[in-house]
Amino acid sequence: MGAASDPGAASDAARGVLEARGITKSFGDRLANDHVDLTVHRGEIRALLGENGAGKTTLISVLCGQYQPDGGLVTVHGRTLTLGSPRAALQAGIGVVHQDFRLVPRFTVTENVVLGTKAWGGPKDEDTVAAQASAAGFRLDPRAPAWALSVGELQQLAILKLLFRGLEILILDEPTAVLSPPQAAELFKSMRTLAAAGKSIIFITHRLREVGAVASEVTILRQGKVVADRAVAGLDAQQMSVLMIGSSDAGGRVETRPGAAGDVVLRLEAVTVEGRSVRALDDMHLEVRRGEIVGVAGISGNGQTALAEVAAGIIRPVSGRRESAAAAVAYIPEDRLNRGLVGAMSVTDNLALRRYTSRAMSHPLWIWTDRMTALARRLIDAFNIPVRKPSTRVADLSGGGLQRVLLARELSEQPDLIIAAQPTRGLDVASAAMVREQLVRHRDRGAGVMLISEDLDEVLELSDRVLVLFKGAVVGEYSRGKLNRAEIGLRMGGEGAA
Amino acid sequence: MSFWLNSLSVGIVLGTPLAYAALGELIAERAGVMNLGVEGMMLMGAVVGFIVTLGTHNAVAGFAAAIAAGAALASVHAVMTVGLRVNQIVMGLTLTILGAGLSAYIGTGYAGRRPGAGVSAIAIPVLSQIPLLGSVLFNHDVFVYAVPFVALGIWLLLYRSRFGLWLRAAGEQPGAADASGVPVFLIRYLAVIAGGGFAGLAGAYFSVVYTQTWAEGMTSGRGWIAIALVIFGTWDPIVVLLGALLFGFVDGLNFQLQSVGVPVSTHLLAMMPYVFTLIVLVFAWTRLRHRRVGMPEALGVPYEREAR
Ligand SMILES: Nc1ncnc2c1ncn2[C@@H]1O[C@H](COP(=O)(O)OP(=O)(O)OP(=O)(O)O)[C@@H](O)[C@H]1O
Ligand SMILES: [Mg+2]
Repeated sequence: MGAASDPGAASDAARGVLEARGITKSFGDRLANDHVDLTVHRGEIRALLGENGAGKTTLISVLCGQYQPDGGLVTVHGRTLTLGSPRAALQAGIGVVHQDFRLVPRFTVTENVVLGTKAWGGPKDEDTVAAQASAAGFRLDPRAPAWALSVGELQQLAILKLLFRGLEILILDEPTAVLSPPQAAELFKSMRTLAAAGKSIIFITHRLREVGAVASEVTILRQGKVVADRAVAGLDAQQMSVLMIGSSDAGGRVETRPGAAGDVVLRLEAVTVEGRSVRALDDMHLEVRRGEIVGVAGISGNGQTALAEVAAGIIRPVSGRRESAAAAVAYIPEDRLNRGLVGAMSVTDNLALRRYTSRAMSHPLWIWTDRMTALARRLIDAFNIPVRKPSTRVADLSGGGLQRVLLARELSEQPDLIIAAQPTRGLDVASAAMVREQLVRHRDRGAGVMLISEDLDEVLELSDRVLVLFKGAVVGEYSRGKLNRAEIGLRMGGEGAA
Repeated sequence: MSFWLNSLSVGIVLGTPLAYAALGELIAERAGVMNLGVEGMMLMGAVVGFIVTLGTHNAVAGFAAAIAAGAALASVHAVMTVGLRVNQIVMGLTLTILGAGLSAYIGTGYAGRRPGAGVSAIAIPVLSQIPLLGSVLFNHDVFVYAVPFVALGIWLLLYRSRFGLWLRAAGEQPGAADASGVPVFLIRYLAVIAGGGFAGLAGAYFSVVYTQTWAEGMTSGRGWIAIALVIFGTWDPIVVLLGALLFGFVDGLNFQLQSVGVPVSTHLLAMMPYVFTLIVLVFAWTRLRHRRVGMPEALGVPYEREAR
């Protein structure tokens, strides 16, 4: 190579550390990325926005070598990147913190960090990893197994993995979806420090407030195409969502009149559930009445999953009682794909799961597939499920699509009790608004709703009553009108007098 | 006294091939690939090892050929399950049937003959002079002496080397390994093929060293025992080795009892090693599983990079 084409730092400033041109990727007849261009400069934090299914994850999967695109070119420091090879992407300096982190649960922190490098995770590596962790401000025990870490720690581990390799282009796929507000603030601080040290960061989120808080540039995707590529300054949340959706019908706040509470539909008395190391629920008392939304606020890992499963009647408590007067219970689990839906089955089958034994859907000896398909078409319309054919495999849907399928199945039967765990996690603004609207509508119809959420704003906006969950117990209860955001925030962290 | 010592000595010889086959399967399974074709690969090793030893009058050549035969059959499994993502259970069963049939075909006319060369026992100078146990433990062939070192070597490879870290990652979370730049496909290929080599060696040990004949289906289900040993040994090479030796010992006891002529049906006696090993391993397993070593999470699951 001659001097003219020598990739130097000076030319990077103008050209961008990473340049993707014309990235195109389709799945079947679905164009997930349509000639996408993306440029990232040194020291820049760039937000990547778009509705559910817009193609954000697909784009970064191409950049990190997991997907082989149908067309397009990626250069890093002016050098062409071999596409479709995770190894080549890592060697070029591109690293991703995936939505599911992609760690090995049985490996220690050190083994996870060094996996794929020359090291094998011996005592010397443990020292290096410990040093790097504290330099990055992470408190991670290099010998702890990954399965024992909290979600926040797992994320730090995934980031540490990239720092250990000295990668320069860090891509974070919805990193704040699983974090509480203080944890997210902590993450933003790390991101700014890294950017100041010369790293380039691409950051995906559905929380538009976060864009202004941490990013300087933004790229917006709509149906696989880039619709905006500009500085964040001068762009407010409203404008961003208009760009994402393509119309001004952004589906904003839900109208929230207080509900009229009736009879008790769910009562938990002195419920205790054992967890992995500590009690998941410890002597829990709780009531949900018809016509009210009970919000359960708290940082994840404080017994939410156990509470949801006991309330829905899926697991039996070790001691204590669950009483429910509900004829039909709707359960929207946190882990949609593994607990709520059968990924390998079609949208039609998933929608019929709860009622295929009913007379309307089947005869004792056979199933009326045409009736199932008709039901599916009706629900696909009613809930705006983004599929062309009811026979689409559920696992191929994006996050928002999955949640719509789940809601359609659970809510179309007029339940008396709805247990919703993290129902808007990872959803775009419009989908999240749809979910909230549905919860309020069913409450007004007379259903009792338990809303378990880490998103404090959501809990405060929708709930008639708010409970704060900490270490498996209720540490605070507030009725609507007596909500105190600051105090609830403290209680979530285990502070504040009881 | 000599009854027990004899059983122990025979047991060590019987346990050795099982240990090799089980350790080979362990390598493949730790990389995430289940190979139920162990029995077929052992039979191929047995027949090829026997014929080559007979032809060359050289047991070293025989064993080399047996290892190659096992590895060749295993590479069919690797191509089908790792490359083409065929169901591993189905492919493994096919391999067993294929190995049994092919070995019977190749071995036609060799039944009843002697291999003409073998692997002689080497008495270890001072140690074999120890009263009682000396001759039992230290008057064996090289494969017996090597097996603890092989198990230890595999343990070191798994837990003290980069390749081992990569191999375990491929078996636990191939997606995470791939995203970290680990060549998951290559590692799975190598692990399956190495496992086949071990099974081939185990088969040849039966035909060239232990019985010194070839007979159709002569491994009589020991490939399946090897697979069970990996599971009950919680995928730990040391525990798997101990399990194999235990099975061998009770099997040896069975032969001794038969030759002494106890008034019990030989069929019941022949069941002994299976029942006894099962009981001991179930006990061991209930203890060991708390250590959080256990089945590789992605065992049996084909890896596909673009799937979601
Ligand atoms: N492996 C795959 N197989 C089939 N379809 C896929 C696959 N990956 C993505 N898709 C489809 O491509 C489109 C874009 O998906 P992608 O996951 O990139 O969206 P996203 O912007 O990340 O959405 P979300 O905000 O929900 O995470 C969706 O319609 C999705 O169903
Ligand atoms: Mg995504």
